[in-house]
Amino acid sequence: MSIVLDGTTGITTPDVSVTAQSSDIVTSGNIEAVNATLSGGVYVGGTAAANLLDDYEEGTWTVYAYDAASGGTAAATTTTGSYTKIGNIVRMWLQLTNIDTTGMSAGNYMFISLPFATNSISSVGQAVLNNTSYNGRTNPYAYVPASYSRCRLQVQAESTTIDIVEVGWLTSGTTDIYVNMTYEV
Amino acid sequence: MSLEKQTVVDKIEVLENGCVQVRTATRIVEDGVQLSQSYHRHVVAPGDDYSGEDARVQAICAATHTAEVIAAYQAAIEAAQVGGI
Repeated sequence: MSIVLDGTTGITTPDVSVTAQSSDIVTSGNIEAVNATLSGGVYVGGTAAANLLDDYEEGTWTVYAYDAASGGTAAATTTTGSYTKIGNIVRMWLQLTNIDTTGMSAGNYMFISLPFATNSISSVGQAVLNNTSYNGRTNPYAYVPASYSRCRLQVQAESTTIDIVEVGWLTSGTTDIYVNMTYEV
Repeated sequence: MSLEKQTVVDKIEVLENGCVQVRTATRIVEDGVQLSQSYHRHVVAPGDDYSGEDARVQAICAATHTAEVIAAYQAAIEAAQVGGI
């Protein structure tokens, strides 16, 4: 069976509105469009819950360096980081330059705000630190424990224990930090 | 023609551990038609100062960031303070 309008097979004009469609639209062909708006999501490669892509978002967040994992004092220097959230995965990038640590507690661990809190899985990401003590270690990286809303920086070297970067290791006004990390939410 | 920039908290999510995730949308509207929209995020964790937040975020934080929730969050944080991966 086919639909013929004005002598043409198929629906070519006028536009078809399916806003009142209450049942599934099924096709064995392809669906082509400029944009699609879905209040739910799209199943890819199957119909299980694990196949459902239900969120995508791009945005920014204000990056703060703190001297505590919750509350605490923030550095005067802030910047804007960028993120992309795809399903339960967040990829984020931040750059803090010339961090002014005035007023922060030097002996405390340093933490950096995130756009989303992590879920029950901790994650590790790339980090570059300029003008910062590594306390005898060599390899800096970003680490966010499970259920945290802030990440921290850790350093490690062969045959040494892990150490967490403290505020006092930074050189106020000159330290730069770059972090690129992917984590679950 | 009128162009208007609108900034609104358009999504507030409360996580199980009490973290409140806030999304702020910035919209450019021309004669009532939205031309663009961008998002800005932040998280208010239990124990954080939320006095400068949007009124609805403050209300939610006041309801969810109880002493018990803050204590539980702090305990979880301290448990993860030891360097490790």
